[in-house]
Amino acid sequence: MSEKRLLKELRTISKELVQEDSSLALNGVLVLEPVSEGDLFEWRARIRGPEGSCYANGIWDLHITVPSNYPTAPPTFRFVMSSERNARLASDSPTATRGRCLRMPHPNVNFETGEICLDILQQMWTPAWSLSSSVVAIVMLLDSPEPLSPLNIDLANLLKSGDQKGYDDLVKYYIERFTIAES
Amino acid sequence: MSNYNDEHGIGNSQTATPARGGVGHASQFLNLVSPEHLSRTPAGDSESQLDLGLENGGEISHQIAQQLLSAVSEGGLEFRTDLDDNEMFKSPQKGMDQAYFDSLERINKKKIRPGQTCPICASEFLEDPYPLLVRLPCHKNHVFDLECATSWLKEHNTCPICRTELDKPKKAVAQPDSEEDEDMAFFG
Repeated sequence: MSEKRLLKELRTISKELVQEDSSLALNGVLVLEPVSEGDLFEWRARIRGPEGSCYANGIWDLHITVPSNYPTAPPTFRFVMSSERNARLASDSPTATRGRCLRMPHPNVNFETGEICLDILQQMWTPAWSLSSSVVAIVMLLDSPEPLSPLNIDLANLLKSGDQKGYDDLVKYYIERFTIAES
Repeated sequence: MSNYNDEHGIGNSQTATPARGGVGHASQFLNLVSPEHLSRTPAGDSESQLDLGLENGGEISHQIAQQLLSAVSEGGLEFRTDLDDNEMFKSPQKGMDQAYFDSLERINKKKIRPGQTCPICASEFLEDPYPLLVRLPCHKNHVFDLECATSWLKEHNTCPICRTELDKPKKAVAQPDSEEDEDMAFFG
């Protein structure tokens, strides 16, 4: 069942990504595709931070692992930190001119590993979710952090103490600091 | 050959031991209470047992002993140690059983719009000339392939679309399935 459904998702996603008004494009999903042809269980994604948020200037890559019992079990999403993988993705992507960020400064993302804490990818997962709706949810998570279940305690504490400006500035600093230039 | 219980170290011998241990602790405690305290309070006086006044130290330990004793005799302590060792560390048994799948409303393919897909496998219902379709009770449009719904509901008790909690969660495996009997009676 997994492969058949993933194939259908791939077809829908390929169609959507080229439409400018599709929900994927409007939500800053630039790339969503299998890592290699012939394996539908490893995917990669590239997202842009939501407009109007402190993440707006950043671009990030995600690595997606799909379990064999998908969609009963959720896929695993992780922000990519490895520069090698990034470089490969960047070189064959038309969006390569804009630098991508090698860290995700966010209360619900582990700063070192890129692990994401998002309820719909864990206990709130249902098979009605898909790879594309999950990626969109991750983009939306950037703009609506949940400081009560943090993986990045420092950023969560800034939000909990109500220091929105300090939070925005620190996020922007990290994005600038960890975004690598590309030619 | 090793089975699930062996691999996860939850064999019968291990689950039985803590249960006995719980009772054992209680009886050791009871032995510490002197016999004259036990004999001083009239039997069956439940109100005085509930009153944990501090006037009389001997009375307190006696009352605690009585409560422990009644808890043991009612299986209360045994139940609690059982719960700690079995329920909390096993995956929660919140899936639905076969009786539930059998009771789900079947949908005739004539009621399916062309192009309508199963939310779980994303296949069009009408691709299959003889589709087996079920509707969950939460909403008239929440239709799934029976096979897809079963694979999800074996482990969960919520609708994949709206997360509505579905009735009749599966009880502990050992219990007799009285609900199934009721269903059979209902559907004749």
